[in-house]
Amino acid sequence: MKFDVFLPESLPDVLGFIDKQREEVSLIAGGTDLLPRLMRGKSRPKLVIDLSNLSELDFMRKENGIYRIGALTRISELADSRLFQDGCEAIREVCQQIASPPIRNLATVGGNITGPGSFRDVLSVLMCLGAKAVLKSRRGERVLPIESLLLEEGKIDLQPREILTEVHVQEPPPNSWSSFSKVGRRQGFAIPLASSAMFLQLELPSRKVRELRLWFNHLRDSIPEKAERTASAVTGELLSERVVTKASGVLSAELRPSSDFKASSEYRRRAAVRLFMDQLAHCAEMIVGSSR
Amino acid sequence: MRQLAEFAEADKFFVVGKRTERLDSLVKVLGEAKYAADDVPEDALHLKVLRSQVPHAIVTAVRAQRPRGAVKAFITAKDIPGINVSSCIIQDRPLMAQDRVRCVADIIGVAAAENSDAAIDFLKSVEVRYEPLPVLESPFESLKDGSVKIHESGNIARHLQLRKGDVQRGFEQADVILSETYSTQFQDAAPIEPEAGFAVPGPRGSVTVIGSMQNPFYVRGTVARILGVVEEKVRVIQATTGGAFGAKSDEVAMDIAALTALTALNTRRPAALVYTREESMILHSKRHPFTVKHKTGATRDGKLTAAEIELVADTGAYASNGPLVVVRALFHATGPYVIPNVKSDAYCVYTNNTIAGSLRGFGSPQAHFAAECQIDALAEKLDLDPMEFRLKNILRPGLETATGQVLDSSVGLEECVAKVRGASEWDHKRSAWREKTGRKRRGIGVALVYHGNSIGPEGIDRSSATLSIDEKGRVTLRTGLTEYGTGARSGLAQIASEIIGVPLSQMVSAPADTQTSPDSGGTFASRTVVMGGNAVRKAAAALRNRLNEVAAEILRCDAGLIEIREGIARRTDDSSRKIAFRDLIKSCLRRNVSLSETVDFTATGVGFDEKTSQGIPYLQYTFGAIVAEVEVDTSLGTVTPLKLTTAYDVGKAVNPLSIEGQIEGGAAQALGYALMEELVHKDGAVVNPSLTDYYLPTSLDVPEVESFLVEYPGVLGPYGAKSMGEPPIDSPASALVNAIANAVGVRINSLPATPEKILLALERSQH
Amino acid sequence: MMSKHLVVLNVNGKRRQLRVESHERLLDVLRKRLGLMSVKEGCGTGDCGACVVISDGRLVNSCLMLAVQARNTKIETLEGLGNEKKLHPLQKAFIRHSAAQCGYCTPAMILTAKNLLERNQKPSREEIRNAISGSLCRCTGYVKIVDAIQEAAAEMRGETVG
Repeated sequence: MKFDVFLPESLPDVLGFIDKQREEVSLIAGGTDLLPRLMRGKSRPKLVIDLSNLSELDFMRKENGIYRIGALTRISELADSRLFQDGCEAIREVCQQIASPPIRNLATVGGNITGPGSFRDVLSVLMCLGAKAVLKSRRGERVLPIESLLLEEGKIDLQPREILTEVHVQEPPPNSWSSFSKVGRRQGFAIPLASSAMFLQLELPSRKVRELRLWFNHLRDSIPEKAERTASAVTGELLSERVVTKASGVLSAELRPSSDFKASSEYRRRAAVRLFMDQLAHCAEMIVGSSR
Repeated sequence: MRQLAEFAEADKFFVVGKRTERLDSLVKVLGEAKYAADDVPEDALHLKVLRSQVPHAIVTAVRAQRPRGAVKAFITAKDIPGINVSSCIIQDRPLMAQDRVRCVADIIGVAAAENSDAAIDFLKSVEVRYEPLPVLESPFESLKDGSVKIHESGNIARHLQLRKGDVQRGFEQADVILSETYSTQFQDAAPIEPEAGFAVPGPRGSVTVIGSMQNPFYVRGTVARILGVVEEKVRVIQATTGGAFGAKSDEVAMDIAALTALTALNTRRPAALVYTREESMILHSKRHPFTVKHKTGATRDGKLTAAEIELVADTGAYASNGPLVVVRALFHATGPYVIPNVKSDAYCVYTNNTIAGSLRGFGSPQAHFAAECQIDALAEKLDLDPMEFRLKNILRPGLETATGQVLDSSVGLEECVAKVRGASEWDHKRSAWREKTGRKRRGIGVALVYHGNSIGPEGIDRSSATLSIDEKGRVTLRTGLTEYGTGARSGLAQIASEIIGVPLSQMVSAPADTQTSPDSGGTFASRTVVMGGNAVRKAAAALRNRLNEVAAEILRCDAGLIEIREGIARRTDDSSRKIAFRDLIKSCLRRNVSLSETVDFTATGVGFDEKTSQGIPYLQYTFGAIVAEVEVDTSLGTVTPLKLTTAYDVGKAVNPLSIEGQIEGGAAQALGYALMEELVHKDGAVVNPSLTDYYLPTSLDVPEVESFLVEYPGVLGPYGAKSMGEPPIDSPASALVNAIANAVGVRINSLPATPEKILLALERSQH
Repeated sequence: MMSKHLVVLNVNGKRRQLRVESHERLLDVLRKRLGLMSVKEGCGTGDCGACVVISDGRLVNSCLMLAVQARNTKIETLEGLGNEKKLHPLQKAFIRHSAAQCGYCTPAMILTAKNLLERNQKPSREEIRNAISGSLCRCTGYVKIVDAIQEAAAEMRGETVG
């Protein structure tokens, strides 16, 4: 399976190069997506661009209330970072929980968002946090909510000749928390049977839900699914047992899991609802606890 | 001539019984061990196999272009000069399919090229025409009247039965009868090294094959028949093998050797075949899925009166070692208990799934899963503690098995039970964890095991070993028995070291090579130490006798007064009178004393009735007990194993460190079998031939494992040693499932016990 | 221009200059060009972790990297760790505990442990299990691998080993 590789030294190099290509190019950063697909014969690129040397895209910093994460930041760097806390906690959680240690050292944020074979859990968390993507081409730059770029099959709608360079996450408001959790058939790394990303903001001391955002993943392949009706059912309500129960019912009806040899849709549905309830309790507890 | 026993007093061992290092550890920790794929010659051609794209069909045409450019050959069944068979017990499987394919693991042809990519591209252009036939996906479909016959002889590859006493009367005597059906899945051996091998052509139609394998002599025999040459023309050498577990005992090792040999002789170039993980998982043999029906009767005070058992195994498209797997399953189907009336039937059935054959345990894990869950469920029904119920019925010295075999004194089962009961704090936890509240619930379960050692009823049990001492005083062990991680070869070296008196560092274990090693039968059935150990023991004793004689001459004393230890021969009556081993060897050579000895050892005494299976199937049994502790999340169905406590009657522990390694590794493989592993077939295709979707236990999945070894020497093994390669995988699965039942009150009767099965069972039990 | 590349990298302390093809993985180049056979292929999809190497101080799956991506990096494989005359404490401990059974995952386990101990001199058993969780072992059940790593850590801390 032969192909050519272009080794750019800088972002302008990449953008200039893509701009000149007639055919589709594949990008490689961590290799954790492209190489398994090559191995399985699912990808036959003619030309691959290696982004791994673009250190200008490997950064994490907070500026003017916005967390800026470069597309080449490795998952393990996010997992170890002290930068993301409270309402952004889910970023650390997802990066600590997915894949295996050596894979986390290779996989990148950009790859998790845009890779065709990505398992998209970091993407789910970022969408949950309302993150924006910075997309650059030689012609210029667009900054859009990642969610608005999400296509039906889970792919990100990039223009041709455009690459994702960084992600912006707004500093979360007070009295908010976020969380990521998953369930699988083993404790060790595995594509989850269901995963859940949650962002919750409460009004204190009433515990009225100011905002709730929910994204579930792996219920149907690795295509993230937003639970909007459930979020609406809870928003503006006081977080009581009754409300939680009602929300679980709405969620159970709203989700569209599928069955495969790993799990039935029934199990996935139940697991997703359980993850949701656990997370809701956890986020609320953390909000109340950290406000003291 | 001195007796064996005198060279190694039972109470005074210097090497045997010690936690010594393995002979091959150094090369492995240096990263210098050469596995087959590491050793491929630079100029070797690379082979790729063309597998059948359909699970069952008549093949009406195979059209390939002429190989050219980087592609040097495309070989099919038509090119086989000898007999097109690569099969285990029943000769039902061709090396390459000719006019019919029976599963997606069937090989239609093999392309050889300068690189793998060229071979793969060539295969894409090969046109194969199929006329599909009905696909049988399970034994029950295969057994239906009118189902297509996968083989001429019909869909039942073997049927065996065991009859003891009168089950009708036995059930009448019972106060409680329990009927249940249990089922198990295809388990993949999943050695971390996928199968690989290469062949180098020699002069006059000879060929040398090097590969990842368990049985070089079986490989040689098969390759010679396929090539149509005498066996002496084929030399087979086992490369360092990265795990095997039975998969490399069956067809794949023979296939790779034959395909590379054919290509090498055809092209006059070395030829290598290295399977990808996907190919490995589709092509190599798996563990037989079993459906086991149990009907068991017991009196109210807990005595088993009768058992009626039906075992049906899915052997896939070819029988492989299935006919013997069902033998072992049949003989172990009751579990290690005294049951006066038993009626069991075992069936080995063809389907169009991929091949099921040897996999560690060989029918015993399946049999024990069913038996130990059944016993546990019966204990529940009788409202008896599962340990107590078992103790009322276990095999003890002087009692009879289901085949009417009266056991001798080497039955350590009771002590094993006592050990795990104490160490796991069974009684305390059974009562402390009785209050089942909260989302996460803890449970503790037990399972017992007995495992007939070595080949037993599965064939002739003969083993050989050669020991040779060179002028530097090194002792080389040559045997057809292979090392692939068990540590068994190092165990053989320990025995030789003990008897001859050289330090272990002077022992050399030569690669298993058909040219220089004596045929020792296959390396399976956990027979290396038990059988090979006897051959080694005798060979070592013979050499030692000669050494003693010569030393006695030199030191002027009676041969009986010579002790050799740590490379020095001394007079026991005057330890200042001594001679260094090297000098002793030189003297032997000068006197023309032979310093090489080959011994064959055959086990005798096995015999049983063909119709009733009554008799002595195995000469000795390994016994064991396992307690598993788990925590179950009742909202997600997920299971966290907390601890495994095990005890095994090992007869005599030649190397306790190695044995622990087998216990821990076997427990991990059983844990995978119990909770997460499943190779799924659908419409004859393998759905998950990849480690992404076939879940092996990681370091986060396997808990701590505590092991106790007890010793009740058996009649067969050296110093009474018993098999410990396979027994450790037989029962941890049922111990875990029994623990889950204790934790949450639901019994999972089909493996794997996934979170889904547990959660849905919990929900059903609440309604 | 883009199907072959000249790659300069440091492997086990030695500077190497190699002509590699675009599609070659780091795993292939280490094995075939440099003869470093301790780096094993077990699956090619990142699931078994038999291929891990240390790249610029981080543990990575060499089957998931193109060789060109290793340009200007410092790669460590097991061959660079110790030798028969002077074994690394990890190697000694693996021998003592028989933590290498078939040995196929051993290079990965030892490298992973080396990398762990560089960051954490006194890891708990759980931390060790976490660190090695990206590499599969089918033989040992991991118990003696964890034992060996703990013992090596103690020796490296200067504590006496039994």
